[in-house]
Order: sequence, then structure tokens, then C-alpha cells
Amino acid sequence: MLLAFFILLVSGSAASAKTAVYEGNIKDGQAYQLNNYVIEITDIFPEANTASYYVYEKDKEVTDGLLGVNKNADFSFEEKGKVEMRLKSVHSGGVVTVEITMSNYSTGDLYTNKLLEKGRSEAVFAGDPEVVITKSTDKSKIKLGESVTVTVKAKNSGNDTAHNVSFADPKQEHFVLEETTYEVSGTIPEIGYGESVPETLVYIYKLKATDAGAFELKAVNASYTNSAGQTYKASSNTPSINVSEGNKLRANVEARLNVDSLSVQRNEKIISTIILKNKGNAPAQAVRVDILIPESFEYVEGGEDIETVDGTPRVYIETLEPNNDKEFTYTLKAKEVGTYNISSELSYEYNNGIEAVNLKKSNNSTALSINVKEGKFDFLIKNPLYIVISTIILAAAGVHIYRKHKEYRY
Amino acid sequence: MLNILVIGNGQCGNRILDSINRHALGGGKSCSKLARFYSRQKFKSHVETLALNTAINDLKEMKFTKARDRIHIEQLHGVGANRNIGKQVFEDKKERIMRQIEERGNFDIAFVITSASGGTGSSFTPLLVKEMKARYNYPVYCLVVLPFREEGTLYLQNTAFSIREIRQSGADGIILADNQYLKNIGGSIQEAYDGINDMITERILFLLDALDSEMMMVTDLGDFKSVMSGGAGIATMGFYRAERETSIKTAIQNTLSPSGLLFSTDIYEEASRAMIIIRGDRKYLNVDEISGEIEKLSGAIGHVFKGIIVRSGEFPQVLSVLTLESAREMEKLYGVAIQAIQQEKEKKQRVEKEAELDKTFSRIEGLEPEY
Repeated sequence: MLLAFFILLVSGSAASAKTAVYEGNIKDGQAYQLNNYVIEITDIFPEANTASYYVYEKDKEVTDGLLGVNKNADFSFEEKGKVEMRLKSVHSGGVVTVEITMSNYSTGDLYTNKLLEKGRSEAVFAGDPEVVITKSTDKSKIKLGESVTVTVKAKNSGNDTAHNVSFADPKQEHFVLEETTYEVSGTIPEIGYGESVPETLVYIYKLKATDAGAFELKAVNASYTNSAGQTYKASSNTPSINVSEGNKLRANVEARLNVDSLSVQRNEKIISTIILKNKGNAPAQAVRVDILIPESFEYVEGGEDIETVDGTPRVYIETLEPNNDKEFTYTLKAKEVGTYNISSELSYEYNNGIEAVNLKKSNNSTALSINVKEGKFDFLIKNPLYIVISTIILAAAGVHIYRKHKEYRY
Repeated sequence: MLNILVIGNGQCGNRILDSINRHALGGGKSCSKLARFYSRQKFKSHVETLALNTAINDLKEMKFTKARDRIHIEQLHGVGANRNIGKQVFEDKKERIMRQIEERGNFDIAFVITSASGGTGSSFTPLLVKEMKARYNYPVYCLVVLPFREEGTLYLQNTAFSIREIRQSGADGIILADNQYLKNIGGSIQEAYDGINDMITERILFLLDALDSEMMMVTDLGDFKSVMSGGAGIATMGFYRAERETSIKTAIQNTLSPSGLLFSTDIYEEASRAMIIIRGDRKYLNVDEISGEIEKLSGAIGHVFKGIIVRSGEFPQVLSVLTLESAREMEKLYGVAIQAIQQEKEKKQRVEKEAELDKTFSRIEGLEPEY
């Protein structure tokens, strides 16, 4: 805690601490330039130990005044900085000694910090390059699978040359890059400014729509510096593109489960069917249905097209054409009393005619609820005495029939 | 309870015996083969049945008679309607046959059912009856089935000799059933045979039931013996079963009518003694009607034994057993049989003549054709 407070105290004092930028003589007619600020000293009166000063930001006067020895004058510097100027002494011959300090500004960031021998006219100021990026498309409405040509151009509408301009064009969702016609290689060393400078071509490429909808293309971002090395950033516009469904193909396979009865007796067989229908307009491929039967059910038998994998009946079809349906019949047996759900997991692939790779889809069917009641002869299991008695009766009947048969057989 | 032995001899006897066992299972003619698995013969008496045959296939055809009651008398291909062979076979196997009867115990009465015309039955029966009478004291009655007249000369001559031998064997009575008389039943041959068998069966079963039943007016085995001992030793049976409400008078008349009898006879002319057994619900048993009909019959033939069995809910059923003093139909049958014997004799002579031809053929013996 104490350490944190100490660090805060030190950093706070550092932020407000004054840093000497210049301490020395300035002759009448000379000026001192700090970036785009110029301090001009005029009207030096040794007798009065005063001198007049003028502060300009480029050509615009910011402040002025009359400064006596050991007196300070200050002005705001750029965004948050502050420059203080102290007149230390006035000498005959039109010379003053000043001390210039800065606070709230890192003097390391000063790109111009020098005495102008010939005065303010000698000052050279850094401009603000303004790179305007224009992202345009040849069409604003396309169909799925169609392409749109995107052109990205840049123009410096600022007042300084943009240096080391680099562009970044983010990957566009819902589109795939079909072809790149032109792309600037690496960083552009500089883009000049002025009306006469033509637009710089950055990108020309084609995007192919993979989804339907209204989309905004992402902005192209640029990063550059001015003559003074200051960094600037710019972003392009985000043109809109409306992609309609158009000719996109899709398979839509439905799996419908049916059973001959929703209420059965234990150990009774249930004839079940599963109907697969492709309601889409593209062939469904690798259609697979896993019939999820409860543990209390037994898969008894089914058609040749049904195989069991780890006890789970599975239907597999290579291709199911649009508007075709296929029915598979299988037999289940309920082994325990209760209410059980039977459902299926469906998966298939299809090609939408646009993308190179197949799209995969899967869904689960609505579950069928089957009520399994006690079987006709379950009471025998509950009370084995019935079985014993029945067995005795059957055995007795069998013996009786055998004896009678033997009695009459000749 | 009476102990009764029923023997079916030969194919005809076997079939009637099987029919008796089938009817006794319940369900009558429509009794299913499966009935033997869930039902048992419901005889009122202790009845033992025994089927004898030299032809094993005839025994195999029987479906309602227990295997142990079907006795095959080994003789390759049967006896082929030749009574001489049949008699020889019986003599050879006599002890085995009699042992089968012996093993079944002692009886109060025995019936031997046979055809008079075939091979095994017609030849075995006289010898069997003779042997039984020699060994046992109980009465032995034969139910003899006469053939269709057009069945052939061999059958007719067999019939003539067989009946005579049965009478001479010591049988206590012969009950006749005539296929010729019953063939007006119609239908196919098989249906006719089945129908005849069923008719005979229901009469025998009724008789067996009656002999061991409580009756309002007592008729028992003794009465049956008395009836059968009358006349010329031959008898027949009449039967009528009402299918709807019928007066007892009508039922008695029907049992004595040609449609109810098993043998063609004019009972008022040829009968000697009779036994009438009436069964049915009490409401049908009008004593005046019964007495009236019995009196009419006894007035014509002499003594008539009568018995009445009351069975609630049953329509009237009447069985009549009639012994005959004479039988014109039998005389006619013997007339036809004599012709048949004559035909056979002539045929044999012709065959012997044809043997002369063999001598003619023998003249080329040792020669070969030359081409």
C-alpha cells in the first residue's frame, strides 16, 4: 500500500514536473520553435529589463505580452502540455536570456526544438496528412453465389505528405474472396497531398456471397505518419450489399417416426417405421439416422437397410433426391413397463451449389412417447405359482395326450 | 352292472365295432377323432371290445378302438374271401384268439359282429362261436350283416354257408342286418356303408344301455335271452328316434315299420317274440298308447316284453328286438346264393375245359420262330 502510494506520488510529481527545454540567449529577431509553436522575442529594452514576446501556433498568434526579468509567461501546448518561459536577463544589443520549460509533456516527443536564427520566417511546420479511403463496390444487390468487385482507393486530402502508409482490409464474413485483381504491395512510402495528386489504388478484388442478407463490408484501415513522424489512422467507409437467396440449393431432410401403437403390452412387438423425406431442392448425401431406443426396448429386426451399431439401429442412405421419400420398417419389443420415448438423430450433407464444400446438417426428430403396460401373462412372473400350476397342468395334459395317442396308435 | 363282450370280426365287424366305440365317446356320428383324447367311452355296463382281422390295413383304419383291442391274426394278404383259408387260419391261431378273450375276463353276454359274405368274418365267426360256447357259459349272439345281392357270387355263397354254420355253431341267436335292405339310405357307397354302420351301432348301443338301466317296466337280460331263444334262432332289430315332439304311438309304429328294421320282414306274419324298449321324457310316455300298441303286436305274434326308461328332456326313442319264425327274405337270399354256387361251379368247369387248350399250346414247346 505504502509502495503504491509512493509510486503514485512520484509519477504525479513527474507529470507536473517542469523539464527544461532551452536556457540561453535569444536575439531580437530570432525565435524559438517547439513543434508548431514559435516564440518570437521583440522590443528588448535593457533599461527596463523587459522584452516583448509573441507566441504563434504556425501562423496564428496564440498569445503575446511584455515580460520583465525573472518574470514568467506561459501558454498551452498542443493538447495538455504547458510551456513556461522565464526571462532571466536582458542584455544590451538586443539579447535576452530565457529559460523555457515544459510540463505535462514528454520532451522526447518534441520533433522540433530549436532556435530559429532568422526568426519566425525560418520556421518549418509539420502538416496533417489526411488519408481518405474509399471502399466501393460495383453492385449493391447481388444473389447468393454471385460476386461483387470491391475497389479501395486512397487520397491524401490533408496538408502534409502521408508517410509509410499501410492498409489492412479485414476478412469479410458471409463472403469468400474469389479473386484478387490488385493489391498494394506492403507499405506505400508516401502519399502526397493536394488536388493534383491522383487517388492511390489500394485494392481490387472480388467477393463471392455465401449467405443471404444485408451486410456492410468492413472498413479498410490505414496507418501512416506525417512529415514529423506523427502517426495517424484512417478508416474507409463501409458500403452495404444486399444478398438475396437467389439460386442457392439446400437439402431439407425430415425424419418422421411412427409406431403401430402408442400403448402396448410388455413383450409385445411394436412395428415401427421411419420415413425420410427430402423437402429441399438439393440431393441429400450421406443421410444417416440413428434411432434412439430406450434401454428397456429391444431392437428385434428390421429391413436390410437397417444395421445395428452398438445396439442402435441405424439407417444409412448414400443419396436422397429432392422430393423423394424412403420408408424403413423395423420391429421393437418393450421389455419393461413404463413410458418411454423413441427419437432419432438425423444427419446429412448437401452442396448448396455455391460453396465448394458440402454443408452438414443434423437435427433430432420429435420423440414418440410409448406407454408399456403389463403383459397378458405378467401375472405369471409376479406369481410363479401360476407357472408351476400351468406347467403341471400342461405336463399332465401332455402325458394324457401321449398315453391316449399310444393307447390308440396301431 | 353287466359285463359285456363285443367282438368285431373281419372288415365289416371291425368297422361296426369302431363305430360303436366312436358313438360311445359321445357326439354321435359327428364325433371328432380328437374326442378320444378328452373323452372316454360311456357305456353303462362294463363293455370290452375286441376286433379280429387277418388284414392289418382294416385294423389300421379303426380310429376309435384302442390298439390293444385290435388283434391282427397274421395271414399274408388276408384270406381273400376264401372261407376255407379263413377256417384254416382260425384253427391255426385259435389259442391265441381265445387267449385274448380269456384275458378280458368273464362276461354276462357276448355279441359277435360280422359280415356273412367276406373272408375272415364269415369263416371265423362260426368257429369262434363254437369255441366260446364250448368254453364259457354266457350267451353269445351274432349280429350278421348280409351283403348287397349284386356284390358277387363268392359273397353270396359265403353268406349261405356262413349263416348255416353260425346256426350250427351253437350261437344263442342271430340278429340280421341286410345291406340290400338298407341300401335305400342313398348317397355314395361309402356314405351307404357308414350309414348302415351307424344304424346298426345306435341299435346296439341302445340295447346295451337298456340292458343295464332301471326301467319302469322291467326288461332285463333274462327277457332278452327269452326273446332271442324264440323262433327260428334268427332275429332283427327296429329302432326309431324322434327328432321332435312325437307321440309314443307313432314312435312304436315307426320302430316296427320297414324304415326302422334292419332286415326285411313282415313282423305280423313272421315274428315269434318281441321286446320293445321305450325311452324318453315322462311327458311322452302315454301308458294307454304304449299298451295299445303292445297289445296289437302281442295279439299278432304272441309274447312281447316291454321296458320303459324315463329320461328327462329326451324325445321318444323305441328299440324293438324281434325273433322270426320264418324269413321269406332269407329264403330268397338262399335261392340267389344257390344260383351263385351253380355259376361258380360252371365257371370252374369251363376253366378246366380251357386246360385242354394248354395241351394245344404245348405242341410248339421247344420250337423257336424262324425269320
